[in-house]
Amino acid sequence: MAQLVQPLRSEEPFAVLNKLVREWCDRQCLEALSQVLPAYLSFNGLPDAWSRLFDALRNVRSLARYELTDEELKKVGNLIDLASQVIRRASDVAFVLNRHAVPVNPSLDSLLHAKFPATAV
Amino acid sequence: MAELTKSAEQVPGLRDLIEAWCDRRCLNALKYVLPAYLSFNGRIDGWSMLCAAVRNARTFAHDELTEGELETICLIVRSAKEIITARLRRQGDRLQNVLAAGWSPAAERLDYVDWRRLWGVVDLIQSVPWPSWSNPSAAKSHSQF
Repeated sequence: MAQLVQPLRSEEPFAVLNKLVREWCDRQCLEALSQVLPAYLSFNGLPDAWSRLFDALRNVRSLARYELTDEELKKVGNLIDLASQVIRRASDVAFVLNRHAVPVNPSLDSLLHAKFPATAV
Repeated sequence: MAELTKSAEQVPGLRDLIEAWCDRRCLNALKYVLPAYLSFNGRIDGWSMLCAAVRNARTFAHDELTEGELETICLIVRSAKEIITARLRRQGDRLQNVLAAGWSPAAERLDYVDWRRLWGVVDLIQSVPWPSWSNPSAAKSHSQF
């Protein structure tokens, strides 16, 4: 269980994403902005928001690749990996919480800091 | 009346709006307008999406916009409405002409139907064992669903 519950600083990926959005605004990368802005502006830290961000970043990588530099592509790839890890971890935690009949509607931070019974899987 | 344009670049003032919003980081306004701007096709649905997008930007990103930009948005909405109305009216006139000549819109399309292929599909459907083909009473009971 211990490896499931690790704190994640949500400021770090968002600093990277903020910088990316600013650079895309400066260079008027409209396709990339169009894909990422809905998920970026409505992000609230819950797993479904991470899922929307994951989809948006994948769309940026596939549909707006021509607007991005190699370095930006690398950063987008890293963010996609991170979002997928968060989604997977959240689904694992939700599975454990369901097993122990704990009501599931917490924020991601509380999920990551949750304490589970010793009998957890 | 505004002319029909196939590219959103030719919509008066829209490109300038987007450039200004990028410079000033008006992300909310961009969020609403960019999908319609990038997928604009010059047809009625494209104009309709663009009209709805700039209206949403005006409503939900009002605090990010200047007076001049609000006026430009009003201009875009007005020209989009004019174009949509004119296109719909023209289509309605064409339909009226067809009907006045004694043709139904469906009859106009009959020339394009590949009847051999269509009857092949009908045969295929009828070849499936289904109670309604052979037994009308079963069909009646089945129609309750």
